Amino acid sequence: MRRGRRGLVAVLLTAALALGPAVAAGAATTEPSGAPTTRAFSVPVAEAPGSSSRIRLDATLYTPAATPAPAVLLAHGFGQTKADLAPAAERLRREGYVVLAYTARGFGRSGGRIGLDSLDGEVPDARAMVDVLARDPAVERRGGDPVVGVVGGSYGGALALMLGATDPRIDTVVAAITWNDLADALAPPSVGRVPGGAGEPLRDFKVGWASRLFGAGIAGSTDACGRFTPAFCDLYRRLVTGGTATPADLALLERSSPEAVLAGMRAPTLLLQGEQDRLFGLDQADANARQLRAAGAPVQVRWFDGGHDGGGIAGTDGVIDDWLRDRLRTRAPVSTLFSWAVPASATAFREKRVAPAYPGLAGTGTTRIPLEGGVRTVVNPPGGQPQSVTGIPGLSASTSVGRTAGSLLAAANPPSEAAAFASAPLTAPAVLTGSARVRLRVTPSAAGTAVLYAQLSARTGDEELPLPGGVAPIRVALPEGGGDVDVTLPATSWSLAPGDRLVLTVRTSDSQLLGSTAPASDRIAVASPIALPTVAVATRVRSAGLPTPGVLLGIAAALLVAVVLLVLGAVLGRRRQRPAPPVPPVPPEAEAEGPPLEIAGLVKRFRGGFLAVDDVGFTAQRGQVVGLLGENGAGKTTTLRMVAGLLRPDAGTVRAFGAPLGPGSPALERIGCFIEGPGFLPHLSGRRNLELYWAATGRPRRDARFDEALAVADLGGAIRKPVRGYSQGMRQRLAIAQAMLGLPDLLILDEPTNGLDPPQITALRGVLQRYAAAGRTVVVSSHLLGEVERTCSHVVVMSHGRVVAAGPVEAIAGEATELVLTVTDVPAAVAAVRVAGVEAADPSGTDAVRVRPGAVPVQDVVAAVVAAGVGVTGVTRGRHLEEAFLDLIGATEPSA
Amino acid sequence: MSALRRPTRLPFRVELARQLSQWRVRIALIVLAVLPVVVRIALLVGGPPASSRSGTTDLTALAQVSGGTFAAFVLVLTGGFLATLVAALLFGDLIAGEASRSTLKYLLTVPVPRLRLLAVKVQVATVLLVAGLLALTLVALLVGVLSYGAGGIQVPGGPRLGFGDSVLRLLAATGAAIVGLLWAAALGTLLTVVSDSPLAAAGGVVLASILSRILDQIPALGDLRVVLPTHWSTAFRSFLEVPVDLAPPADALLSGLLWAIVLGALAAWRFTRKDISG
Repeated sequence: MRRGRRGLVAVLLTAALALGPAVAAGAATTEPSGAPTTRAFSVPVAEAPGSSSRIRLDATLYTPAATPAPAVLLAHGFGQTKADLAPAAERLRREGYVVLAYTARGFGRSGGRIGLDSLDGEVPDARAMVDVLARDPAVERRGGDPVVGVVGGSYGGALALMLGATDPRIDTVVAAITWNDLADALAPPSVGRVPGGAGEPLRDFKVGWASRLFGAGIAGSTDACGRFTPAFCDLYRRLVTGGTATPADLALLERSSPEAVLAGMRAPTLLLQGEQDRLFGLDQADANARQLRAAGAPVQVRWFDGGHDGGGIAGTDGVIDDWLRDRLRTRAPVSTLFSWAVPASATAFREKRVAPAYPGLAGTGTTRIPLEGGVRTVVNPPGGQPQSVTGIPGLSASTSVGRTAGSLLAAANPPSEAAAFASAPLTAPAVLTGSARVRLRVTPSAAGTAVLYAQLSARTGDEELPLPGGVAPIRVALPEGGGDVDVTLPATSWSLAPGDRLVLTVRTSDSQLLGSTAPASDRIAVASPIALPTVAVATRVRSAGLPTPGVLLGIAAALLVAVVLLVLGAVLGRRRQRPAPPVPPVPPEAEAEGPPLEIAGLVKRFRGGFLAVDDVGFTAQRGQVVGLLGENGAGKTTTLRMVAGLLRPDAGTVRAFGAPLGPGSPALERIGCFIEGPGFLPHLSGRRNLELYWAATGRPRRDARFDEALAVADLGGAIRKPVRGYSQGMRQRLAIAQAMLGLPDLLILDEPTNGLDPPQITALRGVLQRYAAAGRTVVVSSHLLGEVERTCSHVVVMSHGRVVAAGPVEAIAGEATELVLTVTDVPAAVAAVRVAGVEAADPSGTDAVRVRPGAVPVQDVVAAVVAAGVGVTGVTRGRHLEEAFLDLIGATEPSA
Repeated sequence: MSALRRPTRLPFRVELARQLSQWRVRIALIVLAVLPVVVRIALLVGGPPASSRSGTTDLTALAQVSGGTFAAFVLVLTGGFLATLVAALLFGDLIAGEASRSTLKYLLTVPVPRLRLLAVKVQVATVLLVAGLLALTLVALLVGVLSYGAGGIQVPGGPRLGFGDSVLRLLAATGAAIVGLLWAAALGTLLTVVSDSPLAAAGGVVLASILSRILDQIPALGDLRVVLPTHWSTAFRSFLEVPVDLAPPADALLSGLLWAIVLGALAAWRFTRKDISG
């Protein structure tokens, strides 16, 4: 997850960098030196001091756009070449340095043999590289000397130190995860000493790391010694087969150790050492720091959470860049601050701590913690196999895979070869910084050399995490009956929380160290509390476990935007909800407000382009029952939906009681709607549905007039049953009742008679007419002509989205006095009624006569026909709306 | 004059009553509340915890160490997909559910202003979701304490926390899990406005969740995956670990807020100008 966010930043950075060169190129046009250049070449150097034979070293010079500039010489790690330095070189060139990266002798395309940073080989090579920089006009000079810093990690770190100590032209040195004394690093002396014992400590051999490095040196070679010098090849073979280092061996390693020359260092030096490092531990940096301080060179020490066993020098770029800038450009004084990382534990995040000065490995204070475990016996089986695994060179502890693999391997460690001494749960937190010390009492089974390995771990709950820094070899000669051994554990840093237990594990073997093949059985007891060095802290920086300021800022901004949007929504909603016109008591006395419904120029075109409603307009007045008549698809429902604010009209206006009507208009409160079928919560009773509906209006319950509405629904006992079981007609009636809740001034009913049986239709007719008679208004749509004719006082006829006629029913349907007589003799009947003085009389079909009686009473018309001797078989009164309607529709029917 | 003071349309309690009357809502909440009991029974059927060696890797065995651990286990089981599903059901139903029952048009002609309708419905669904997940955590804690004792959370490969600390962490994790559902709630709201079918809206959220999880599994996408809404869906587990890393929950909050703002604003904008049919 954290990777993810860093990733986001990385994506942005990449984008910025992609733009960067363009910007830089634009700026560079004013620079006289032009674009940055990269030049590969080879540098001839003497194969050995004073030798005339030359070898060539492969080098690349990175020159920035702006010169002259300070130079940085980059030295690579063991097994690498200058190609591995390219990313760092390009980064430093972007920072504005001239960068020289080269492949050390014995690696890559460079000639020669590997001398392990020998003062007789690699170090003079590096001085030759400084010569190259000194000749280059792009390199800034100060007082006749080139300004040069040298930066290296591991193999390159020792080289950087030795170059800085032997070449006065070097202005600063950055040495990361490297050694002080190669003999001590590869063949570590025993960390256990017999108190008061004198003489050289016995040495072990870091067989794990040594074989890995040797392998890297002979990689790609057919020679068993690879490209090592014969002297180192012999040395390795002797040590790895169990031999001890001879004084000559130690002298050879001395020539490859900064320890030999650091007294000559004057340049400010940055020592970066990794805490996850079993090859070059913190003790090596400590030895360098002590020597440099003695030599008077300004030195700064930093411990970071990395190293050969966990992530290399990753994450130190920023520190190195800052150091180079302060030394090579601004020449700021060197701060003595000591900063170190406390790695993440089971209960704490990784933390960076800063102390005013580097205190060495003994810290500024001590916490003593008793260890328990009594007397334990550990055995070393003959041959020393299987060995305890506490780590694998190259298996990085900085990855979860590495940690998991490490703990799986450790789980198989033979228990009889280990003795664990644990403290009681700690009561106070402590941060171990440096080398812990403890006195053991060791009783070997026989007089001779005891070979043991000590390691510290922290137990939290049931989880035991080994502390970084590795395993300390103990190799002491003990008399019969045993003796005390003072053990200085590898320097490290760790945060111990209250409740944690500190565990000291002593083993008889370790897969990374040579150990002993002799069978042994040692009794071990802890003879003193363990002394943990601590360092007084100036500042603490906990970077992990907390959100970055950017994310917090983002959250704040997002919340702000959310609040603004919510307020905006509320304001917009309120503005749309203009104050409702005062509701006058029904029926209204004052006629000040507009008609209940006034529609003008309404247009609705659906997404498919279908023009559903085209310029529709009509007005409904108080006391009217207005019928909206039209065939299916005439646009009746669409019109009513726009009235109710469910659809947005493309053009036109709807006003109710003088106020414009739209979605959510307050005036809708005075309108009861039943549009295109009922809608209820099917699992609730009819009554509960109406109650919830009314509750949604937020108006007082007494305004609802439930009894009147329920009387309209006429559902009897079914009103208490779930709507799910209702018939279509029952739902229809319930929906009409819902529309009538609160007795709204305007009632809009869309096809209310659908699904009703004839008696119910008749009842509804009465209800609607009485409703309007009380001064309210009803708009009812229907495609049933008879219904409209019988129910409505006014009618609006729609066809194909247009109003084709509007007005009182009589005006549309014609006079109600028209007669149709079915007779036995049509011509005779026509003649007879004409004689009687009717306005008009025409034959209608073969057996009927249509008569407009005019002033003649109907009974006289019938009497005249009968008097003429014509038989009357039927009399129908009134012209049917149907005919007028069909006429009207026919008129608008699109002609072919 | 009653008209001078506009009545509150669709009061919160009315909508809550309407929602709670529906069985699908009740069932979703009941499932959340009963799940811990089901998990407990499943563990009973599976037999007592096998005696595990140090470095316990069997999570179900670890779950039975203490009441707090059981609750944490249930929360981790639920926090990802089931919670998303419930959120999808609740929020996918908001508008589309009303539309599918034809009740939407009657609510709108009450008239409930559209933004008000959406706001009240989102509030009710949020309250229901929060209540459901809180019920899940509390029932899990209760069942765990009754079954395994009032012990704190045993962190895998870490210490045993105190009980009080564990309860606070469980509540914080529940809160963070709810924050992790912001995007699902907002997407559900948008889909329920756009679609007229509650199933389509809920299904859309679930589909998006699955799709997002699949894309999240493709390492080749690298850091582009931070934009995936489910990328931070496990952030709530930070509170169940030692030490508590507040960065992932903060990232989840930011991601959730951004998704909620974009999708929620889109939903509100769309709903105010939507033609209601059906």
